[in-house]
Amino acid sequence: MKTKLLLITSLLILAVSLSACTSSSVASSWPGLTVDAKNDTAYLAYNQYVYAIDLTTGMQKWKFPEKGKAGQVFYAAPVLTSDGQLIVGSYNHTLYSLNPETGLVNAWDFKANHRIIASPLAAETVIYAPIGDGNLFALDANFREIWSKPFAAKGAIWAQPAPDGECNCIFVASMDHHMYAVDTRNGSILWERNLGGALVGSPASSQDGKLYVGSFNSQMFTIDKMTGAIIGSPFKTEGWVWAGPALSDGRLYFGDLKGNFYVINTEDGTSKSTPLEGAILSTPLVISDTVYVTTEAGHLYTMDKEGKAIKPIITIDGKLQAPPVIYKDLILVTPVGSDSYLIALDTDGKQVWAFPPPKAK
Amino acid sequence: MWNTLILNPMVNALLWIYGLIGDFGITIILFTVLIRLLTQPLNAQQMRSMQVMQELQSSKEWQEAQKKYKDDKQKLQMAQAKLMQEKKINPLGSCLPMLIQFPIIIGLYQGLSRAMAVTPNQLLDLSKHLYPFVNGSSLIPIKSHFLWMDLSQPERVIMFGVGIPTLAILVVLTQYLQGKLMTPTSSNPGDQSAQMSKMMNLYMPLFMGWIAYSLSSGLAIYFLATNIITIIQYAAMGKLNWRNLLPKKALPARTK
Repeated sequence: MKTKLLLITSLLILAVSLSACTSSSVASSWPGLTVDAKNDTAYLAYNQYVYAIDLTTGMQKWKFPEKGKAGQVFYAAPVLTSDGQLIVGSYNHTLYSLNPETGLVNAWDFKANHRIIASPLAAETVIYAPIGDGNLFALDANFREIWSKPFAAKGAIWAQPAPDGECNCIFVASMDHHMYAVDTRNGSILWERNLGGALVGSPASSQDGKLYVGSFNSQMFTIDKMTGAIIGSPFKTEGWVWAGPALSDGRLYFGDLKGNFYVINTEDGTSKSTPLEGAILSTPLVISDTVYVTTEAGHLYTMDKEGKAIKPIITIDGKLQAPPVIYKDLILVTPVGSDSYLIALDTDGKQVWAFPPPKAK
Repeated sequence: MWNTLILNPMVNALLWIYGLIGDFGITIILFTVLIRLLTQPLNAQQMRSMQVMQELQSSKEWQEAQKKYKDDKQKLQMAQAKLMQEKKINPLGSCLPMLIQFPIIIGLYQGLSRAMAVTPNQLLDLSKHLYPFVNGSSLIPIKSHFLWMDLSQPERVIMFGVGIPTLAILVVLTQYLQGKLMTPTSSNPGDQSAQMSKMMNLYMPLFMGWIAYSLSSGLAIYFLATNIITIIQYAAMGKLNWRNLLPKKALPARTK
């Protein structure tokens, strides 16, 4: 009898342990934030919900869905389209179209064959939807496919594609170590370049025909937008480069997973690196003369445009993985592992309001 | 502690093998062989304990005790415990090695999830736990396709519009076969140990099948490979009991 009990208990322990492992893999996602300044609303996709939050008060306007479902987890920022849709991709392979006013789901959606991790790109009337299996679909406003077949990278796409008005193309960074230029008319490849490591962040595009993208092989590349050729020697970093760089007034701002923050002058190639506390997982925010950068250790740093006078202005109780977003005079950050999913700070780092999601009754 | 002793070594071993092979399905199979080699002392101990127990249950003293106390379960248990004490047999001797393997299964599941890193959180987590000798930047992301399977997802073969979990079915069949072949024929099918084995042979395949059905197919491949390797291993040692596959009535009672 004792042995029987021991056996059943052991099987139960194993079952519970494995079930716990399964749920933990999708329990906490990566917050994605979009701001509609005109309507004073932030849209936050995090874990199992998309929240609409009033930016003047920090109060919830609505959430989608009403009740979270297992597997329906959101990783990327929602996107507002020119025709008034809020579109968001989910881990459950579905791209949803929501009414940004009400949070009600529209009649059409798009079912992919794999998880959606990246934000879609809405460019004019076309929606480019990157999928975890490497496919990229061009969809019309009602999510009907435009290309005869999707563009297919060799690996997952986790980065939002970057648009370019000059070449009728979009730039797609893939986990398969390649950067692609994709023809927006038919999804064909204009050029592709192997960069030796996975590409998680979106590239930054300059007016003078250059593309900047960081890779897991600890390098920041400058690429010719028209040909895909690598220009000069890549800039070497100490750690893997996760997020895309920010480009402003000829300077490139980015960080690596070892916590180093880099500023590169793209004209003369001079650079400055500063070690910060915590991995840098997000694209820095550049506003007039100030650069804001967040780290996984929960710090929000500010510095001048040359990367000097770096100081942490606030430490949040939680990890800061997603990029800070500006709304009027407020800096919005989205901590992971905190009760507040969205915190509004003034430019000195003082908290103005925080949004903890209302507790389920 | 768990990460340092179990999870990180497993993840790095998986990635190191993957770096040499370039195919994650084959990596899992080779990793299974490695795990079987490392846990061989435990398996051998389990086998020895089962054999000693089998010999004791076939002994005259054991059977006399069963006859003598057939109407008094408590006294029978005391007599059996005394016999086991005399022969220095640990009643959990055949069970403990199996239990010790549970953390390996849990660690492997977590290790496979971490190595395949299908979400940003998992990838970030992986980047923090790589050993210096593993060239993560060139290996990541893992190509999770093997044959018709995506190793990061539960496996299904679509036939006539229905998803058939072929791998889970194979896990159930091989686990059942393994249990049958490795269980010694009991001289007394009614005794506790024989009933225990019977129950194990029924529940274990269903349980493993359920795990293979629900979780990533990479783990199901580990189960399947483990079952097949175990059968081969014991066949090579001449320890398989083929008689268990035959109908019971045709068998004469085995005394030893």
